[in-house]
Amino acid sequence: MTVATVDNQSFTGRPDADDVALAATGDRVAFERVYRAHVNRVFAVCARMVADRALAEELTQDVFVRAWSKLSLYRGESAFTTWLHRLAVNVVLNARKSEGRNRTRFGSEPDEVDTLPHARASSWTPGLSLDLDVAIAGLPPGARQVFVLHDVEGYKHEEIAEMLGITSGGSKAQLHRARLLLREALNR
Amino acid sequence: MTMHAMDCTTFDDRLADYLEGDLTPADRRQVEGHLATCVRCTALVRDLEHIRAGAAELPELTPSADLWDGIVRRIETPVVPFAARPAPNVPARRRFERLRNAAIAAALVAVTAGVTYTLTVARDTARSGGSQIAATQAPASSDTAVPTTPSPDAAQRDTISPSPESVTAPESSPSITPRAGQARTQAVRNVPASVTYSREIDRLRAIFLQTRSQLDPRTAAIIETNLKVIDDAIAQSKAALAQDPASRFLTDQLNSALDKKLELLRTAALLPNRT
Repeated sequence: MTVATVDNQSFTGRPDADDVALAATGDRVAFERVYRAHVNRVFAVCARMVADRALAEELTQDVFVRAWSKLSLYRGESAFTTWLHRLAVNVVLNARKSEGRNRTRFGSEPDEVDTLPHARASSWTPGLSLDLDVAIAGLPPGARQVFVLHDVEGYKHEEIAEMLGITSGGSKAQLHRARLLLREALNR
Repeated sequence: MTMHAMDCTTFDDRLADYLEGDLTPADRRQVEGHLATCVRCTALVRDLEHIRAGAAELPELTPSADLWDGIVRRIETPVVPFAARPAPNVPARRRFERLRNAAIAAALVAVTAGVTYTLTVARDTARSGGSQIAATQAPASSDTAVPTTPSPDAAQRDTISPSPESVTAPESSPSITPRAGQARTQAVRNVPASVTYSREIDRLRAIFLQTRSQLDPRTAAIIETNLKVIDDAIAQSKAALAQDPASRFLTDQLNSALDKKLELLRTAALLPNRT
């Protein structure tokens, strides 16, 4: 393999438009800079949506592989971070659809859960082990996805409804349910 | 209006709409009137607001290991010169069977795309009485698909792509404003997908033609037969896109066929010499 690498320790900045443009033309060194600037953000959305670090790492790789192959389609009409972020959400949602044939990973737990395990009792330890992150990981899949997309990532209900194939009202109901479940878990 | 007529049960029913700002002014005043007198409901709202605020401030997370090497392995498409490749250690018959299976799979995908296209056109034609044909041009390049997502204007900014995995989804939703998208990135130089596909297909086809004589004749024949099947699917998809350039389904079908063609050509380029 003859791929130059970016010094992980020395890279601290955000990729500029030049890096994105260079990566779009096939420059892997530039793409690595793009990767290093965005990997934590992409991993965060994957991890919170699937509540499984190992799976989230696989999905993060999928996101960047897909970004590499689709980068030439990026037109600059939106911020690159927005484009990449949406791509990450799409990869997660698409993977979940594909997971229909493998029920063991993407939230095989029933979506009818009305109570959550105590936040601190979970083995989920993302980042700073925030109680809120632990509690989010314990949400039923449907409520968790809506909560992450809306309250963590800032999507609108209309956008979430279209992404998840539900109604806007359904998204609002799931969000409210998620918040109530989180409150219960955090107050125990 | 009786400001204190609301009880906690009614308040709970309206809480979601209250937090979303979906209540009418009158209902909102009623809810706020209840909040002014009810400790239990005030605490509930405070907690939920706290959760909402906390979620918006959650930090980025770091993978347990550097994922870059795995990504590089997957995005690399090494095309190894035939002369430089070590002699294979796999019986020729097994190699042939493997290639045959791959080619059959590629052909099945292409045929499926064609059949699906045919069914879709037939259905659309039946729906529209055969009179609704968009007068637009097909993608210009001979072997490429370019998603035809229009530039969104202000009226379109609240819409998003209907296909989560569509290659055009991210760029078709510029108004989606996750907090992760705060950084400013200027418009970049565009390299059309058509160029990427054409470049790669031409490169791989050249390698295949150059080394075709070194392959088992049956293998080469299967590759060419299946390239023809995929080319037919590409032509059908392009023809359909000429009539319905906004169809995401057709764009996806065309992209899928092009991907299959690339995959087959890559496989062909990597085949070992006939020994």
